Amino acid sequence: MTFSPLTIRRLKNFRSNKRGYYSTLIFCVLFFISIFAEFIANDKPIFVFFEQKIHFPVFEKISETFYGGEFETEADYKDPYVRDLINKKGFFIMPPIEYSYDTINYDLRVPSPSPPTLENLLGTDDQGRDVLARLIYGFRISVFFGLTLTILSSIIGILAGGVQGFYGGRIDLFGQRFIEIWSGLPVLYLLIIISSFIEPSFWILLFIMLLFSWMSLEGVVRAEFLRARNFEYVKAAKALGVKNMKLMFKHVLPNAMVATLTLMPFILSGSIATLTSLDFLGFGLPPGSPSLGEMVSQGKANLQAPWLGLSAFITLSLQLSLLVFIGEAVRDAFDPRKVI
Amino acid sequence: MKSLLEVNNLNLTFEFNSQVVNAVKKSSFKIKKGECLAIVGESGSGKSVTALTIMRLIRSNSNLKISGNVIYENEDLLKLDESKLIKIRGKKISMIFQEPMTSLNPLHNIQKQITECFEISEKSNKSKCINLLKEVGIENPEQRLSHYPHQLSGGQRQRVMIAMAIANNPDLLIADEPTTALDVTIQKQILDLLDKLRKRYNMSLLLITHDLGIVKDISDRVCVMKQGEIVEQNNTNKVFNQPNHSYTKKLINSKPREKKFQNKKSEVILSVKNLSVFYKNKNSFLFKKKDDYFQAVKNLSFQIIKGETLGIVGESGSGKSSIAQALIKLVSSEGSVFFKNKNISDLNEEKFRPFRKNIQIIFQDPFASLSPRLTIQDIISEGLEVHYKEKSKKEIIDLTKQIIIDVGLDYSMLSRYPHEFSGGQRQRIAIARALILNPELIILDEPTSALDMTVQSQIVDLLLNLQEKKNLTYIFISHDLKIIKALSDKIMVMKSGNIVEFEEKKKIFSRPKDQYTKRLLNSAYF
Repeated sequence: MTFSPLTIRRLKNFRSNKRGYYSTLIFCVLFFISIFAEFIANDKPIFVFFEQKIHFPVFEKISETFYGGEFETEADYKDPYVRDLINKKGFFIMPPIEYSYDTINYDLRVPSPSPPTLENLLGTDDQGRDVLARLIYGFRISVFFGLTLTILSSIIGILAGGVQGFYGGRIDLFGQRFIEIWSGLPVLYLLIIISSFIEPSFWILLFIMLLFSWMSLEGVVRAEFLRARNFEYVKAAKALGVKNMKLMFKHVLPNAMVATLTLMPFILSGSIATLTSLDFLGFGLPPGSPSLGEMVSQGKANLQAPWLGLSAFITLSLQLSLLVFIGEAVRDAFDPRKVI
Repeated sequence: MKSLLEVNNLNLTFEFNSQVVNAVKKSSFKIKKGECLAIVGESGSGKSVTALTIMRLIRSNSNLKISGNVIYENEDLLKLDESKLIKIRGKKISMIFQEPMTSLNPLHNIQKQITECFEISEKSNKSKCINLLKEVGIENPEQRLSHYPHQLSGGQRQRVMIAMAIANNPDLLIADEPTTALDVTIQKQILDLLDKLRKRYNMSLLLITHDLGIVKDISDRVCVMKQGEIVEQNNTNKVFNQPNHSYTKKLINSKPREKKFQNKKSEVILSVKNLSVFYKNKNSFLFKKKDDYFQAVKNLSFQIIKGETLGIVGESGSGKSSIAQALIKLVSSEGSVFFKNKNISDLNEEKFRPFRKNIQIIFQDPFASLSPRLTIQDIISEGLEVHYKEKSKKEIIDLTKQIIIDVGLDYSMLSRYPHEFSGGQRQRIAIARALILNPELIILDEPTSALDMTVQSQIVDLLLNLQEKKNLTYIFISHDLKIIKALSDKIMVMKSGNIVEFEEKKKIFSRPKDQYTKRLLNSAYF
């Protein structure tokens, strides 16, 4: 693969921001780990070798009867009885953390929330679920949510802002009035009301938040387009006969990019924070799903169990800081005047 | 005579992106009482930095190192502390800046701006204010006191700046490019005013400029600066008559070559009939007011013959640029424009597009007219991608290489970005971008006014060569008569949207008919 000189320059710029560069590395490692959460923290084995055949219980449901047990339901691999059955005719490999986000540890010696032990490295929450497993899954879901929301709202925001700024006049006027009204709607109340009659899933939450989050970028992009459409190089391109669409994307947008990219890390961390706060209030993702916000609220409810609040706090702050540092480095990389 | 200000071995270095830049190199000069010293040099030669250092307006930090001394009244200004400095700044030594548009505070009226530099006891001294304004030649000074900067023209603003500068009878006035942003006629007035004030108050004047022409009449001595070094320092007469340094010679001889060749055919390429350009004054959404238009160009008709250059001269606001933009439909206009006998004024954008490759425009500011995020290759080849979609990538690259050599640059520069080039190089790139489409008519909207003298004549040279080689037709818009004289065959003098005079070049320069043309010619420094 060959890169254009521009890309190479940008990569160089990106790398010269040490903090951002290392943040990216750390974040990528964390994100990579969390993508394979099922193979790291799960109550099912990664790999089962049973009766000369290989099975992956992560992907397929295998009932207990298959291994020679009694129940038609899916095998409970934590059960010593099931383990014995498998070990008789083969073997299995468990992931490093033998708990999924919703696995309840029934063998706790103390009432839950139980403090960190070798079995549950970060302890359990008040329902006896492993905190570390929940953190890994929670990290993944909030990063996915944040990224999807940021990308989608950036696309909408840039398109809307670009059209408004580039054409100006009446389009701009009506657009601005619409945004003024639209941004007057209380997002949080709306979410609370909606979540009271439908159970908000990941996608519904994303959709509702997308309806409002695109506006944060729209204003900046509009302003940049308004400014840039009268630049001489835009006029020069127009005099060359370049079409409006191409003008917008080739000449105006790249110069609006710095402003956009400056804002993006904040949108990203903002949307993660919003999801967390909704979960904290109990209006976010459906109950039982792994979420950092829910863990924060558990930490608040169980002050005697500091491992809950602390783990959630450290994960969240690490995640948000890393994202902001990466955002800064990306912004540096796109700055044409930056000299290394 | 004892000197008023002595600058000895002034050396200034600063670190920029981990590179040490030596902005001023061991410069020494003296200014005597009542004398006018001019510092002349190209942009980036360290003229302004020198002035700012004298005033101590450069904030010193770890990256900046200043050595040498600036002696004023037996004290070294570079070592004075801030409290003593305040007593000198604006009172003994004052300064006027290049850009009158930005050096006045837009939120304060004129009286407030001027009284700001008065002593506390005189803060409400209105008559002193009025006297000052009269002194600098502002009409109706009583009314002007309550006006805000935006209500004044550029020349008036510069006058107000001068009034502020002389309010405390300074010993030394530093004028940093005081006329660069102004029209020729006003430039002359401001320089005359500075000279008059200098003589009346026996004040010294340090005039900083890039234009050697304007210092000839006004200054006693001239320092020529190049890359931070004073290469020549002498009496004005000597500098002009017997320049020692090669750079001074180059500056003095940087007059552009004149157009010699002439086209024989007399085919009309562009003919304009009753062209008018209107600008909306107020953009009211609900209530449409009638007659709320500003007419920038008023019913103009003219013709251009192929291979000729039409020079359009006029002050800013005379509608020169509006014509240019109307011809290529960047602003809407009324009237009809015929390009090679085809009416192009009624065509919509879609139908006009094929014509765009025949009529190209080059803008004034080479820093603004190149997209900072595209490589030179992308910038130059953009037109090809619009008009010659069938061309392969390789053909496009070959063509851009060819054209960039034509404009005197090297094709290894193609992968670089605009900010890595100097103003003159950028203007060459802009010319290449227009040329690659093989246009027949090129509109040049003040293409040299943002450039240094020596670079200007290089660009003029290039334009003349290209015209000769490719039989191009130019519409050359400028307020600089020197350049117009060099390039054009016919000259159109414009004032507030009207044609004042439209004649052959020779006739205009030898026998100007109109009063305004005469005034323009008188105020030009050739």
